[in-house]
Formats: sequence, C-alpha cells, structure tokens
Amino acid sequence: MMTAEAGNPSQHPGISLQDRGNDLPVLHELCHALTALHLEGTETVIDIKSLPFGESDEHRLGKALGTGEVEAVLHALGESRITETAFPGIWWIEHRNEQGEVIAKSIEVTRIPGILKSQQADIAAARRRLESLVQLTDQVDESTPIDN
Amino acid sequence: MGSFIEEKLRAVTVADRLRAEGVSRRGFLKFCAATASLMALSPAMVPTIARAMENARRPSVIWLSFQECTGCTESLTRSHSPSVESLILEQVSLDYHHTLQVASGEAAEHAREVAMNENHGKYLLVVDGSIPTRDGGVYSTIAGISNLDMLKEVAEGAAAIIAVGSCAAFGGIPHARPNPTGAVPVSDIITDKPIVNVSGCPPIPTVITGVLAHFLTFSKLPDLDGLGRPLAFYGQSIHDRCYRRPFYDKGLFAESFDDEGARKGWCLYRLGCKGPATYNACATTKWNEGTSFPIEAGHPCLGCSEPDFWDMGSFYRALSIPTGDTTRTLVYGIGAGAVVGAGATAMARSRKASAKAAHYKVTVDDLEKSS
Repeated sequence: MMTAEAGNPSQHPGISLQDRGNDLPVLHELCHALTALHLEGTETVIDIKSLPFGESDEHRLGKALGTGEVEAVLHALGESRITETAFPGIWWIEHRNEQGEVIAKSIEVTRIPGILKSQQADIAAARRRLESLVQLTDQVDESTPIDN
Repeated sequence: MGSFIEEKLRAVTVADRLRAEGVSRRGFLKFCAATASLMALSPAMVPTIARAMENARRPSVIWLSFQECTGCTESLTRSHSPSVESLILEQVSLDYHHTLQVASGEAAEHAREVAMNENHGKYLLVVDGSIPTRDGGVYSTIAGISNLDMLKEVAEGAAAIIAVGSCAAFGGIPHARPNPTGAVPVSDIITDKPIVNVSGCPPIPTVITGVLAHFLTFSKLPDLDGLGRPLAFYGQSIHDRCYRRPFYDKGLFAESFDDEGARKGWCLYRLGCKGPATYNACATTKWNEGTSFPIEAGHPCLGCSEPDFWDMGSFYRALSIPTGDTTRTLVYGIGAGAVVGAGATAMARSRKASAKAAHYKVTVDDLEKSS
C-alpha cells in the first residue's frame, strides 16, 4: 500500500531512522539522574511524550532499559502502567485514557513514583467510608438475636 | 451520604469538581500529568498545576461564532475526546455557543447577557470566524446585531480573548483577495484586551484545549510569539520538526505526485510545501490523536496557520526563497526557478512524458495549468 511505503524513509539506502538517535542523549541524562538519586536522593522526571522521538528512538530506549521486578497497573480515568525498568530507580510510566489512548508518557528516576503511594485525600475519604461500614456492621450485629 | 452531597455542593474549584465526579486523587494527579504534557510544560510543573486546579474556579466562557465555517468547533468536538481534554472542557462553564448550546433565539441571547453580567471582567471570550466591516458590518449578523457590534460589546467585560482559527486570528478565507466583506481579525477591532491567536485552518484540537488548560491553571494566557500565537505550539516551523527533513537535507525531492520519490516518502518542497514558512504543531502533535499530518499523508503543507495563506501563490508552487543553509540556495534556485523559467515548457513536456510512462494520473503541470 502506498502509505506504508511512503511513510518509511528507511527503504532508501543511506537514510534510516537509525540515523536520528534521539534515544542516546536521554540515556546519558538518565546516567546523571540515577547518580543524583543514589548520592543525593534527588528525583528526576523526563516527559517522553514531548520529546521529538521517531518510533525507533522510543523503541530502542525501551529495549535498552528493559523491565525489572515491578509492574503496576493503575485503574483511574483509564489504565496506566508503572513499571520499574531493569535499572532499579528508573521507572517507565505510561498513562492511558478510557479509550486506551496514551495521554502521558514519562520516565521517573525515583525510589517510588509518587502516584503509586496512597494519597492523603483518598485516605481521608477511605476513613469516612470505613467508619460508615463499621457502624453499619455494628448495627446489624446489635439487631441479630443471640442464640446462646 | 450527607458528606457526598455536601461535596457536590461545595464543588466550586476544578479539583473539587473532579472529586465530586468520583475522580480519585491518583486520577487527579494523572489528569495534571497529562495536562502538563498537553501544555508542553515540564513534569516538574505537575505540583503547581495540581495546586492551581485546587484553587481555580470554573471560568465562564462565551464563544462567539462570526464569519466562519464551523470547522474550528468541528475540530474541537470531533476529536475523540480523550478523558483529559473532555475533563478540561468540562471545567469551563460554556455559557454561550451556537453549535453546542440547547437554547436558541431570544433565550440564547438572554443566556449570553446573564453570563456577561454575572461574570463581568472575568469571563473568557472565544471567537471563531472573521469580522466583516464593510457597509457597517451588515454581511454577518446574529439576532440582528452585527458581528462588529457584538464583538465590541462582549469584549468589553472579558478577561481575555482566544481567537480560534485563522479567520479570527488573521482574517482567514473571507480575508482572501478581493475580501468583498471587508473581513478583519479580532485583533484589528479589539486593542485593549489580551488576545491569543490559535491559528490554523482548523487548529489542532489539543492546541485549543492546551490554551484553555493554561488559563485554568495560571489564570493568564501562555507566552506568545510575534503573531500572538502560543509559543508552546507555534514556536517551531513544520520544516524544523518534519520527519522528512533528512530527505530535504540530502536534496531528495518528490517531483510530482505519485512518482518514485513521492512513493519513497521524500521531501515535498518542490511540490509546493510551505513547511519552511509555517509555524504549527502538526509535525509533532499531528492530527486525529497523533495519527498523521498532511505531509505524512503525502500532501505538501498549505501553511494554513499563517496570515494570508490563501494569497501566497499556488499551493503547488515551491516557495521561492529557501530557508536554512545558504550554500544550497543555488541548487534550489535552479530547481524552483526552472519551474517558472524559460525551460519550463520543455521540462514540462518531458516530465509529462515520463509521468505517462510511470502511470500516474495528475502531474504538477496539470495542476498549474488549471490554477
């Protein structure tokens, strides 16, 4: 199909998407960021979605970083995947909306991405819900006749 | 139970409203991260955005549609409304919009007046379409009021104005020669209010929502370029971000539609691409949720986000002044000049012959003859 051929400049000898190499600077940046995390506790976030990446740049970066021990799925306004790469401290975060489209993509250099922690506002709401649940349970118990 | 209702009633800020709609704090943070990405801001800004959303009250928005084709509204509403964009749009109180509002006639105009009075000095005015000025502006009227008069009246109490689309930003299609209605952009009429020009025919939908999101977060307009366009989206030319740039740099061009070069995805400069002179986010943000953009689909850029793009000469005639490396000027000069120079006929004939041999239907020559 014409579109498939036209959109693939790598068919021409001497020109390939490999020539772009926008993934290498990011890897360098991650080296510095990981050092800063290790020695100073400084966290870094890189917005991957906003970088002028060709498809193969992102693919190569993903392959280089790989997958590590932790894969988390967040269900809020659609699905998000938070994965620790093969390099502990470097996390790959992909946010999708309810239609499955990617709305944000970033790499976080941190001990734990903030979004994984239970949030204070949610904990406050959870307290209220749990308290009502416990009250309800108490009421039910009070109304149940004791047999023995 | 009572606290749930209380939450809904107290939902005056953006964050409150999201919580009242059942969005958890994590969902809210996801929303803020996507908003930061949308506005091309650093992820370090997410806490700032979160704080701003916690304090931002829903602004009233009045959308005035003047001498327009409704393409800008279509662009905005036809995007498949990813949650973030629709959430952003839901955070504004859209108090007047011809296509989207339920009310019509006098009821609609009354709604507009109420919104203007209740939010005087604080509402956001969005305009699409140019404003005709000839013969007292009779060529476009709403409820018997000329666009010219309505714009002046509504702009008076507005905090800021967003001119959506090339018509509102620069005059657009109605402004093209001979401009029979005397169409002018918003900035020609209103000179005492901050105006953002979100140009494009139509603009990319995420750019429109990005500007709204910026206003929601910071209660002010984003940084603008010399033509009043948000720098985040119009700061670089199509040419500077085009994925076909390696071909331009190596002098590999498509010579006619559907020739070998075109099929290999080579640069469309010689087919009239206005990419070097056009500023927009098409090459990075793209269209239809990042699917593609004209050049990727094989058609040269029309330059639709620039002033007077309709009067720039043929869409299929190469830009006469190449940008970039001047050592290449001679080569491109020959290339572009040959199209209009003395050898044009001979070249055209030979190209037509080889075009026939390569079995394609329309050549640039055919297009130039008919334009």
